Amino acid sequence: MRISTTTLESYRLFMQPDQEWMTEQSLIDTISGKFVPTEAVLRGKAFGEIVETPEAYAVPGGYQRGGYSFSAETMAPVFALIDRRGLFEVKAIRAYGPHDVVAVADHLLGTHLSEFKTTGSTFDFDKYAASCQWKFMADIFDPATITYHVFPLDDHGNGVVEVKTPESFRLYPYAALHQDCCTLLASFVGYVTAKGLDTLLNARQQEAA
Amino acid sequence: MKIIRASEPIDVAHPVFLIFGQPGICKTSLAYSTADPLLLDFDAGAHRAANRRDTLQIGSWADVAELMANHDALTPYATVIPDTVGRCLDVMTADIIRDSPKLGPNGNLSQQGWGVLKNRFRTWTSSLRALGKDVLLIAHDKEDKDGDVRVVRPDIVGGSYGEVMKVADFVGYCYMSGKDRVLDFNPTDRWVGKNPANWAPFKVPPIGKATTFMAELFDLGRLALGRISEGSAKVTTAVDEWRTAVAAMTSAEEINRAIPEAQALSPILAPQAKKLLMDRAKALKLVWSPAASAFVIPQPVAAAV
Repeated sequence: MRISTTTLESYRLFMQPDQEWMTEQSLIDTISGKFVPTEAVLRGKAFGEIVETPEAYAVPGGYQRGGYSFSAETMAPVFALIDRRGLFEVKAIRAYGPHDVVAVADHLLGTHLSEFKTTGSTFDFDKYAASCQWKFMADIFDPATITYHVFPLDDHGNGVVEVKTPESFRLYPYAALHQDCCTLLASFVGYVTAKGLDTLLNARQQEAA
Repeated sequence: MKIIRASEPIDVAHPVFLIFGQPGICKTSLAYSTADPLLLDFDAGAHRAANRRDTLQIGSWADVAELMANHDALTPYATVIPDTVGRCLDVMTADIIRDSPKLGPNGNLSQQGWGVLKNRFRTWTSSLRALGKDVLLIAHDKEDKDGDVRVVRPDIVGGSYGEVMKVADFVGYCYMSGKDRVLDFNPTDRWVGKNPANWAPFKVPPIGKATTFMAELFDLGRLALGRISEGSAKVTTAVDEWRTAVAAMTSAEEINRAIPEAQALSPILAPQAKKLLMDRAKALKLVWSPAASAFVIPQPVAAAV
């Protein structure tokens, strides 16, 4: 099977006993590639694209992308956090036995991997630290550090996006990381096989081969 | 002015450690094993510790402010230990509300007040590092229930928990395993941790013998962070060399010839080299042919008759 780290994170969230917002149908939609982006996701996507290539979306006084506007002033602290000597959107694949896991790092500079996340709510360290996304990133890319830059966005309902104070922190690979990834992957494979979704993921692997 | 290039390592001279664990597990005694420590006794519990060293009892933030204003008083100390960081934040909170009552209606911080607390804590730890001090944060533990799983975290209130976890370079959980005290920096599904040095769990020596335990960990931690920086600088140099070489490529053949070499690189370097090759191929308007497993010049589409 060919599986993305995003799909694995959706599965991990679904399996959390106390969570109620990730329904099984939305997980299956994610696995099947039927994901319908929310407003917040679209806003985050526009933000990410501007971060990667600001010159492509520059307009007088700021940036525009996907129907969202960001002032130069609101983006300045964001750009200050990012070393543009690094590479954006770097993809890697690692085989876990017969399965391929695909990861795309938002930014890589040397052995430092950075992920850019946007949120509409208050910063929650544990939400990111518990995520399997950074663990797979660490297992696949073998970086020395993983830095999360979390950007709270608010468009006040009018498409003019304000970026509030970013929160940045580092996480590090640890001894049992590979085993943790293998355990989650095995659980996921068992789930999709039981649900009959494995054909779809196998087909993706064959297409990519 | 010294500009450090991306290809040069940056020393992390003064890391921040956070050690958390249940009350009575000798966290404070362990803290006294740092180099030239000054323990800021926010919890009024230092009298119970073994191997006691210099201690400043903190009644209010004014005591800390006085210390920070008097650099001579801090000069003899290499390590500053807020014990506990949870109580330290309580004292800082009280000071914020005393200064600006609007930030703490009914004695509880407003949203803006939490922001001020986070900023003040961050600034304070930065100041200590700037003064050349190592910082060891001590915290009690707190067990939260995540479904059927119990997760142990540092007992730090509200939004400041995230700030402390952000500031700390190393986060270790101290617990009893049989008769042994263990200090583990690895995160697990049962506790949080940060382990830049990739250390295996430590069996902590008996307190009487652990007089330099944390001082040695700080030194090892410094070395580990230095190695991370050095390793990254080497990879950055290698990526720069690839960048230069790839920029000079002008044909599909040159790019295709470089692919096996890129694939053979280390897991951190290979994706970066491949990304440079793909971007170059795109700039040269080449396309990937799955059949040929290579970049090719796109064939012109035959004109419709």
